[in-house]
Amino acid sequence: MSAAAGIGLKPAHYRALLTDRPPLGFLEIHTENYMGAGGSPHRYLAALAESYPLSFHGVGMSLGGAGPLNRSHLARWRELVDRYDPTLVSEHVAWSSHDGYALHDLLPIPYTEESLRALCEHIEQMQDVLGRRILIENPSRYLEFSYSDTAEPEFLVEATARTGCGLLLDLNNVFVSTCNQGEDATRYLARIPSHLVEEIHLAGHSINTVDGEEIRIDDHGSPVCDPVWQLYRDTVSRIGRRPTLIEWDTDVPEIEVLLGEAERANEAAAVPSRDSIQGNRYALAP
Amino acid sequence: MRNNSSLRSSLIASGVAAALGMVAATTASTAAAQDQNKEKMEKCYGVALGGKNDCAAGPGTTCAGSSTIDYQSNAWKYVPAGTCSDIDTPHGGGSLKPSDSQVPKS
Amino acid sequence: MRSLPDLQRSFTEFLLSPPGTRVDPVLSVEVRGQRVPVEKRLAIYKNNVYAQLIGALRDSYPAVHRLVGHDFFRFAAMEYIRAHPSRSPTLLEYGASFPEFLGGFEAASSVPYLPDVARLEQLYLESYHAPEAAPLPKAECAVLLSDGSAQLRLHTSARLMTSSFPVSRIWEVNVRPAVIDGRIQIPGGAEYLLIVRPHTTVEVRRISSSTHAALAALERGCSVAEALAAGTDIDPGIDLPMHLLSLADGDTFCSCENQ
Repeated sequence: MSAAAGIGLKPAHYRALLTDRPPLGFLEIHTENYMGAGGSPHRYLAALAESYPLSFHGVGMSLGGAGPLNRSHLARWRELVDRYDPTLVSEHVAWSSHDGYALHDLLPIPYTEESLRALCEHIEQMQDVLGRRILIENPSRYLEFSYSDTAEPEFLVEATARTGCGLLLDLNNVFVSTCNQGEDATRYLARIPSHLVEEIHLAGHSINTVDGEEIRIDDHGSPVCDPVWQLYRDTVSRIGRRPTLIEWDTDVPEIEVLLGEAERANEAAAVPSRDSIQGNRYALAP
Repeated sequence: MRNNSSLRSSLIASGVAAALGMVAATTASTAAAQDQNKEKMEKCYGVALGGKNDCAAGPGTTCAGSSTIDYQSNAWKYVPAGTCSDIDTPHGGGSLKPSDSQVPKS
Repeated sequence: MRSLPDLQRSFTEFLLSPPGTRVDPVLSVEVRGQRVPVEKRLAIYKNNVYAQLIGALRDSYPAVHRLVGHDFFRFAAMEYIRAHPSRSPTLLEYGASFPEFLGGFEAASSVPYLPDVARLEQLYLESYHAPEAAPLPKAECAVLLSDGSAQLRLHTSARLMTSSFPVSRIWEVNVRPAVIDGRIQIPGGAEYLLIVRPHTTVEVRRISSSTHAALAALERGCSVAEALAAGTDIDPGIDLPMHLLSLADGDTFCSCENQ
């Protein structure tokens, strides 16, 4: 897979992509959007798969759920992976279903041994059913649990150690979560070993004000912000280039805007960060 | 009773044809070419409906008044108010006055 | 500290509870965050849940949305979501019972055709996502139509619908990008519809009541002879085989082997 940046595939851009075939490292889909049996979505995806590597990114598996995984959902995932043979496969460190109710949001889990066991069991089950390794993504968080006994970076690293999965490092999520908790994104990233990171996500977020205090919301509805671009330059200069995705899901703009963001990611990855040349403040663990 | 041609007629196709007609009459040839491209593409692949499983947060969230869940549950405030007011059917249907059931029960 | 299942049960109850419901005190002690109060942080997740589901309904029912306007649609959607929470991790199927819900939704009773417009939009979506199947060539259809005991299968994407309103015309003017200009007078009453996606595009075709009766019989698994009888019962003068053949030209049938 080329290191060139990719974009999230949106139906509004099907035609432009098929007509112009702009150079992109890959296209990423939300797997659930292609779980219909037939029709246009599959016709477009199959045609685009001839020109671009695909990344399948799930939003509904509920890997962090206390209950068992939804077997029919797993089976539909398997069918799609068999049919399209995507280059990358990923899901979230979050829960989104409970007791048969689907909540359609990436909900936070406490970072405890009990959560870790449930998560790892589900990662292993997903890897077994799909017959391949998956990547797990750090979530955006708007709250913490008072009884978490592990920090998020260590929790993620331990999950990869127990299951053999890789990490999808979402730098916007790191920034959003650490800002919302008054923590430091660079300290967070320093605790992620570089060899575990196999994909990077970049996106925009919004800032809301509640009772005079700011909280950042991961709405994927704007350009990547400058601090996240800085985190990206720092990360790439330490761990090397990785397949990098521009995510934009709300108020999706013209494709030119996404191509511009992808190009900006390519440029940022190609040019060593000035900070990284001058010092090693944001060093990632080896 | 309908004849064969109306049996085969497709509302979608007539919609596309009408749209093309408007473009040809009012805009430059590039727009017409784009529309032809669109029509050709839709012939090959179909109409692209939006995906629904997009993991972004909802808009508004905590801002007062802009959150999805900041809504008034008193039903009487909500009266159908879109294009239905422009449509008369033989069975009636343009009436938009709140029915008794929508008035709050005290 | 509660177990993970207990925590997620309590969190789920909070997310699905009516807006304005107080947070379970145990849950509010278990979560934390600096500066911004816990209740506001939890509200972000609740908002996301409703926003996703309302958005999915809006995507599935664009004509209904346009007919009633955004505020009313959101109100109806919230009521529907509370009565019918999502049970599937994919949103593609969410809202399949929304037409039925609207049929019993008193606040929408001043728009009597609304449930039928919703039903048409639901059938459109079913057809849009239906499995692929090769259409039956017209010549093969002609052979089957001349054999009364034969079975003629509707295409996998074919859906039938009847309405006492001019529902496809109402739908059409509300899904076209053109702005509705002035009052729309819709003549005519009942409609019989065939919704089908023979190749790529979903088509909504208005058909006669007798053709509809014949197709409905075929859909139930009746033989060609029984289907033709069902159609001519309604309109003895109709040349039904010719009408069905013209539908075959529009790729309405598929071969039995395709199953």
